[in-house]
Amino acid sequence: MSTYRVTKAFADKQPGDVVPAANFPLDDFYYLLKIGAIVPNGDVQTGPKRAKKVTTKSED
Amino acid sequence: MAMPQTVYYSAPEVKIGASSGSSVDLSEFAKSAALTRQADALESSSMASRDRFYQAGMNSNQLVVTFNQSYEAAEVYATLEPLVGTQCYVECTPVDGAAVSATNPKFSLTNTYLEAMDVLAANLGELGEVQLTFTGGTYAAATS
Repeated sequence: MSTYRVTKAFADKQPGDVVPAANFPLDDFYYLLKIGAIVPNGDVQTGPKRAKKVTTKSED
Repeated sequence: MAMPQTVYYSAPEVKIGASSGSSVDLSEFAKSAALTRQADALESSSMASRDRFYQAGMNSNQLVVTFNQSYEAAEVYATLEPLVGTQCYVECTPVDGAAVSATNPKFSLTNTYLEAMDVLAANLGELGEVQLTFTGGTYAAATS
């Protein structure tokens, strides 16, 4: 789950708080991201997860 | 007899945003804030009396706030410019940083309209300021 770091106090959040993106309504999330009140925390998933490579040993 | 007084050594808490969940604390930039609760006066006088009488019509609430201008991220310009022409949320408490209570009520306007914003208001030798007027919206006063 992507998390975002609070850089500017808003609502009941303080700078330094880490909040999951899923905690916000979409409009609030885009607004806060646009104005810079939240920034990605380095774990933002930007694309689909790659399927894990499965290898099987040959029987012979 | 000593009278209770409220002295503003610093600005009251002022939060503004697209909604209550995204209202950014801009107290550190606020120079003045005046939130007015108003009910339009509808005259209900009749010839039965020589006195004029009124009753409440529509509510016409308003917040007028002045900020020292800042163009940094998540500060005055960045926070307010996207709100021009939209219904937004504002809240003020008399004492910044203190808990909301009966003696420090939180006043708010929900779905209040920001019509205009001076994106630049420069005067030689003076700090940049911006004054905003939020019009209408639903007024509430919370004590907890």
